[in-house]
Amino acid sequence: MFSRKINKRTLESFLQPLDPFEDPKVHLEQYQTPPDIAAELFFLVSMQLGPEEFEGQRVADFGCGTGIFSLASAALGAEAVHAFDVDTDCLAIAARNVEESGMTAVELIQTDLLVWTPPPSEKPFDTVVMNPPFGAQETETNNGIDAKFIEKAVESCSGNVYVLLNGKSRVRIMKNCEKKGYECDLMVKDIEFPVPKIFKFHKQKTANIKCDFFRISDAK
Amino acid sequence: MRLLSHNLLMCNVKGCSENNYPLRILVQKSKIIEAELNPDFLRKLVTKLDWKGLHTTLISLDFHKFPEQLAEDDWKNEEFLKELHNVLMQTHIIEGKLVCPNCQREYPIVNGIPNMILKDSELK
Repeated sequence: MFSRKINKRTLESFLQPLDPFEDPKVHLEQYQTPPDIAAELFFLVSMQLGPEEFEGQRVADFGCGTGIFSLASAALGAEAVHAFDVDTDCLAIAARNVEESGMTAVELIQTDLLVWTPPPSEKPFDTVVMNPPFGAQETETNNGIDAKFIEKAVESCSGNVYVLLNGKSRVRIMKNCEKKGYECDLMVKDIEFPVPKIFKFHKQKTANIKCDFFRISDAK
Repeated sequence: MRLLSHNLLMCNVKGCSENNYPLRILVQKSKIIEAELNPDFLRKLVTKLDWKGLHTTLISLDFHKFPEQLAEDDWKNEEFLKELHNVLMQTHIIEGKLVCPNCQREYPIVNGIPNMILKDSELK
């Protein structure tokens, strides 16, 4: 963990050298969160909600990919970070990133979050962070996956759930939160998330997906 | 995988809904990686856990020094804190298996990562 004086630039430069996806999978929507965006968002949470969102807490990262959000949480002082993902390949990269960064607080679990259920005692996590599959690929399996991840997170978290989502999902997610009685705070909108031409169907070199960053919690 | 993560995992095979938590642990390879002891975090963590289930798991792993029921005094005991910290936060299971006590389904632990992915036939 860094000293309390960690600033946004330190966080960004810590995240910069982490290994990205090697062979991103289309059906899993594996888009790399740029280090500067991750640093910006985590820093914003620290400033607005307080460093105690991460410091000394038990955090979960739903759909950790290569581990960027997990490592950012650890860098901000999380005592334990549980990083979940379904994909063997990206977990191997995340494991490498965890090892090389020396952040022993981060633990990896391979599971399908749509199948995983929280343990039968109290909600285990203090904070959940996630950048779930965007659902930009509107296939049968991907549709509404973001909402399902959010529900699973709220079910297992006693504090706040921070989600980076496709801007196109904004209305649907806010409606879903209202229906479920969740507190839903749109912290940042229209974040330009660059998606490089890594998939065959992309026409331009890079395209920007406009994203939203939410804080969601169980209001009850 | 540490016991810290183990307590998050249960068997989700179709039809397996009783006696599916906690999972039994078979350790093939483990190692100790030191981490800073944080008594407040430990206490908060354990308060949220099912201590009975954890105790059973500890016994199965040959950690016999822990009481069946926790008392306030235990938290003031340095030895207890150090031992608890060691098993929950410092002991990493690198290779092994998690086994469902109900259906006996085995989940492999490879390179410290438990694999809970089920086959299509095991899901609803």
